[in-house]
Parts: sequence; structure tokens; C-alpha cells
Amino acid sequence: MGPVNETRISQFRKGVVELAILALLDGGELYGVEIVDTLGTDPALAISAGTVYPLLSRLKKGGLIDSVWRESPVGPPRKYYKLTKRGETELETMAAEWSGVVESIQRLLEARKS
Amino acid sequence: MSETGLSPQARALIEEYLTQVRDALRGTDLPRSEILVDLRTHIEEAATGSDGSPDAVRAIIEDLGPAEQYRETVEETAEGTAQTARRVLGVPYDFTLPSTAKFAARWWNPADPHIFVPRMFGVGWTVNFGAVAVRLGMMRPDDEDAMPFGNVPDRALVLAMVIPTLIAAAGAIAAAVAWHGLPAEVPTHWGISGAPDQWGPKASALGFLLLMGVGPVLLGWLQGFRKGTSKAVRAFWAAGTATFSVLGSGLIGLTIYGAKNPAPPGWWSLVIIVGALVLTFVMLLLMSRLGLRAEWRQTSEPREDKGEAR
Repeated sequence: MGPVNETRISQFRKGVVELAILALLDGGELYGVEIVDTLGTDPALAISAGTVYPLLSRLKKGGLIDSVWRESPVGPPRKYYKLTKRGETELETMAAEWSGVVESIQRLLEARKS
Repeated sequence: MSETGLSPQARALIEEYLTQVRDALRGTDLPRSEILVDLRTHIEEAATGSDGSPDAVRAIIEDLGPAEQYRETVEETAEGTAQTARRVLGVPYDFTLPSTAKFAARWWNPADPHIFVPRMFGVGWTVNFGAVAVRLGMMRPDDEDAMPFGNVPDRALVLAMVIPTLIAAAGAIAAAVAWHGLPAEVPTHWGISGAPDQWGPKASALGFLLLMGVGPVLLGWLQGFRKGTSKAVRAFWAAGTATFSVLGSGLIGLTIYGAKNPAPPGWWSLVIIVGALVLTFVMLLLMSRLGLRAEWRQTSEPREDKGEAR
């Protein structure tokens, strides 16, 4: 795979990471390492810590997620993230949009084969 | 995007707002035309969902806020990542004025894994000490919020300014004590071997180094005493003056030594530069840790019983 291809793929992955994080947090509070581990072990997503952390910071700044320090049984307190009300609404909207996009793209790709 | 359904007045409102945003973005390093295209699309899309009247458009624009505020939002989003500088032949350059947000995004940004990031002002790179701390296992990437140092105790911030002050003062005292014993011409530049290869009058040579060490310290204190200066700004001033105080005083020492001895070892200047970087790093790290401790004491909550369902 050429470098151009790789950039292109990482570009469109980056766009969906935001949605992935919001969807993940819809299931409840998680701390940074848990988010990175869950998203990183999915080979299709292959999202690194270097992508997740700046994005968490941006989502928090945008008011879609919030964080709280919680004591940890090992080591210092951990920063747990959760969706805000605005984040929940945003997730609903984005999820609907996403389904529409997936359907359309799928249709186009299938039409190409036949 | 079709513009059907938008009245001429509504369209005029959009144009007016876009012009204001365009003016607000002037002088920033942001991709202006891209932002404006996105903004136009956004407003028009939002307007197609409404009756397309001027009032509806006005409401959409009010939601976005005044042009200045919109610029700030865009800037903050862009500064969330350090790699916003433009590049020429792969080398980054940035001639926008340094801001606290830029310091937070480049100099102490644990969330960004890049250790070398575009310089705050000028051409080339600077060190993201936050990434170094994470790499060394001394911090976690999300220990800091977008704006760091918010909870550093005041005493720590004062102490952080005292350290560079003492270092700069030591350089000044050394210069004063050595003054009469120094020849009229002192070394001003050293080659790789450590031997001086340029000489200059001692008044200007030492004067320049004093300015370099003491100047930032004085400015740092002035800034710290100004009302409404944020903790982040004070922390960055303290760490920045630490760099300059070590460089200034270190080079004064090297000048005095070099005036009397033929060739100080070549690694001297390297030691001074590394020393300046290390002190800056240690100060940023300590301030950050102290701030986190305070934050944990104030806000840490017990572990939530998270149950199975997830």
C-alpha cells in the first residue's frame, strides 16, 4: 500500500473515530486506557492512543463528553469520560447520518460489481 | 446545495456574516477559504430545513455567534492538535503570535504523542515536553485538560519563578565579580572543538548574556503580578524563563572561563543547552504534578459500582 493510500484511509478513519468514541461511551463511563484498548483491538478501526487522546480533549472542549476523576485501586485516580446531554443528542444525529451514508455507499459498491 | 427557498434578504444576511468571518480570520494561520466554504454549506443546509426567511437565517447565525467568537471556536479546534503549522519542504513554520493556547498545544501537550512539534514562532521544531513525560511514563496522555496548569498551587508558581531568578542572579553576580579581572575582549562564540573562534568587547558580550538571562525573569515577574493572569500563563512564563536563565548564566560562566583559559572542553556548551532543556522539563512536570494532586484532592470521587451491563 502506497503512502498516499495510507493517508487517505487514515483520513477517513479519523472521521469515524469521533462516532466510535461517542458510541462506546453510550454504554457507560470509561477511562482513557479502556477506550484506547477497545478501539485499538478492533483491526478494522486500528485507532491508536495518539488519535484517541487529542480527540477526547476536543470532544470535551466541545461539550459532548465530560470527565471525572475517580479513585483507582492501583495508582493515582483515573479520568473517566461520559456523554453529556449534548453528546447523547449528537450521537443520535450522527448515528442516523451514519446509517444513511453506509447504505448509500453499500448500494454504490454493489452496483459497481454487477 | 440549492438555494431555492432563500429570500434575497436571507441570502444577503449570509453574505454579510461570511464577510465578517472572513475579516475575523485575517491574520490567522487557518485555511480561510475551506472554513468559509464549510460555514456557507452549514448555514445553507440549516436554512433549507427552515422556511428560508431572513428571521430563520438570523437565528442560525446567532447560534454560531459573532464572527470573532466563531473565529475563536475554529482556532481552539485547530489548536487541539499541534500539527497546524504550515510547511515548506517538510519544515514547519508559524508566524502567528504565540498564545497561551498555542503553548498548551505545542510545548506541554501530553495528549499529542509527537515529541517534535512546530515551533511556537518561526521556522523549525520545538520539544513537546508533555509527550516526553508520557513517553517516560511520568504522565498519562489525558492527565491535563486542554488548558493545563489550572490547579497549580500559587506557592508552587511563585517558587517556579524564584528558581530562574536565582539562576539569573547568580550569572549577574558572577559577571560583576569577574568584571575587573576580565580582558577588554572576551570570547563570544565557540567552535565545535570548544576553542573560542570569535571575540568581542566584554561590555557588549556580557551585557547581551545578562539581558538574555535577567530580562525574561523580570518580564515573568511583571506578568505574574498583573491582575487576571491565568495560572497556565504564569507556569509557561516560569518554565520559559528557566530556559533563558540557564542559557544566560551558563554562557556567562563559559565566557569568564574562556577569557582566562585557552579552550574549555567542547561539550560545555552542550551541557548548558541540555541543562536548560532538562530544567524546563522538570519544572513543567513538577508544576503539572502539583496541579493534578490539588485537583485530585478537590474533585476525586470514589469508584462507581459499574455492574456487569456494558
